[in-house]
Amino acid sequence: MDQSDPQLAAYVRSALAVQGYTLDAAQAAAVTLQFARIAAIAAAFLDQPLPPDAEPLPVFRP
Amino acid sequence: MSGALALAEQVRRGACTATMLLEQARVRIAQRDPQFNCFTAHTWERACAEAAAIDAQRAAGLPLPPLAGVPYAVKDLFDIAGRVTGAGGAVYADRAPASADAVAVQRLRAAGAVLLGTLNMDEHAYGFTTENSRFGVTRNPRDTGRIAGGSSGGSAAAVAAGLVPLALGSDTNGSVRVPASLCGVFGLKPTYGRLSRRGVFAFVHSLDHVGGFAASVGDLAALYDALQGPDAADPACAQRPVEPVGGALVLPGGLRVGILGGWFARWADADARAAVQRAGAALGACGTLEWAGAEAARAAAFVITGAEGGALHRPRLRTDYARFEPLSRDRLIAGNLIPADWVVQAQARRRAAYAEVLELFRDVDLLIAPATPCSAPPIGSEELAIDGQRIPTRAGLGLLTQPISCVGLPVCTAPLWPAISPPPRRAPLPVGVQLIAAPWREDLCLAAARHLEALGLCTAPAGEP
Repeated sequence: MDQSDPQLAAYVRSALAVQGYTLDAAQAAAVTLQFARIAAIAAAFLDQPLPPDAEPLPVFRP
Repeated sequence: MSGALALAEQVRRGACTATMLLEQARVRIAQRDPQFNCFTAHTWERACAEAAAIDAQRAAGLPLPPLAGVPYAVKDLFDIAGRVTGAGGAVYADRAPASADAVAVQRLRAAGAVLLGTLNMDEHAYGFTTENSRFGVTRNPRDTGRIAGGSSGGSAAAVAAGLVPLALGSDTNGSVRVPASLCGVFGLKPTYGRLSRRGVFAFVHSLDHVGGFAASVGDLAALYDALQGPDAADPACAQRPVEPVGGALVLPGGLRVGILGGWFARWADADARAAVQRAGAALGACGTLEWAGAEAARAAAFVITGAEGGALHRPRLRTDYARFEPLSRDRLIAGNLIPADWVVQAQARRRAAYAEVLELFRDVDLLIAPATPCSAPPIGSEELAIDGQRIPTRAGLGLLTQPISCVGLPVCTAPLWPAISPPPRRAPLPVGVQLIAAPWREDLCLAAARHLEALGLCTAPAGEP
């Protein structure tokens, strides 16, 4: 999936609106490029199986 | 300029005063920093007071602290009481001035060091190049046509240029290790949670570390020792006692050393790979290990960074888009759009990656990897060419540091210089190696760096070589 993918571009447009952004077309295109890069990098792990005890790691110590 | 420990010794012996060292530093910075652009602001008034306090202590016959009179400076994201913490930008200039120093600054003051000012960085710590649209680019003291690396680029360059012997930085995905590598200085990113981050402008709470730079391993160890100690007010700070390393920088006998291959060889050019081989030979490396999950760990760190960094700045991104750094604002907004399940998976992947690296440490005590894919690129480079593949510079410089900080391991970056003379009209450029140990073993990272330094393999000369 790259920045020219219509589904990705549509997702970015919708998500920007949900997040309350009002960007012009050039700004939205720049965000689409960056999101496409994130998606391409995330593909390295998104479909990998995880051990069942792989608990998410952020720090929380009440 | 002498090293930090040598300067403190001069003050202790009475060979000079802290005030004299401050005046020398002021002249040096005024003369030399215009060509490098390391500093974003100076704190002369405070520095005069701190230096005078040290001199008064000595005049009264009181014992002096370990870094008495040593000048230092901090990345522009450490709180300094009475000043607005800008984090390299203008977006938050309307915030109240800091009511107290960051813990790291408090501890260096207690150790006798004298704060000279704040240092340039990528805005909000999001970048690896210190090309800052507000403060200008920081130029690499080894070749001023090249970047210093980032995001703590001003800190590494200030030490490389000999402006200060010590500097503080932060490292989320490589922001100490990348500029240390490109500027040719020693840098330490301790274990995640080792040093308090209270009073440091956050970027990614899950990944932020405090670290530092020096021109020698002894100085770096002294800086690290001064910064150690628990802090219950930083939720990520481990409640561990101070474990001083400065007096014991000797490699333990029988140390098992391995070179990280796979991902770490694939994304390194010939110079970076050669630096690792030379360091490995000097440390008696027994072979190459592969961490199959390195790419996934790097990707997990990338997603966590985007999501947390984007969330942190979302309110201002919506209202003040134009005031954000053009080189990173669209990446921050893209981070707002990352689906929640990607972030949860990334955090779980991080857990799995941590288990994988602990397995590696069953066979070795120390791992070696390149710190950057290559030496410093020219200012303005959009792409790096690594073994025929082109990658974006601003993300690519962190390819080899991100997997390591994702799992929080301690790393000392040590600078190596080309063994073969560079082509005519090109300055010799350093490239750093990461000396990586198991969690809480900063002592091994620093002892390995000290060993390489003692052999003459790693040096951080002040100014151009």
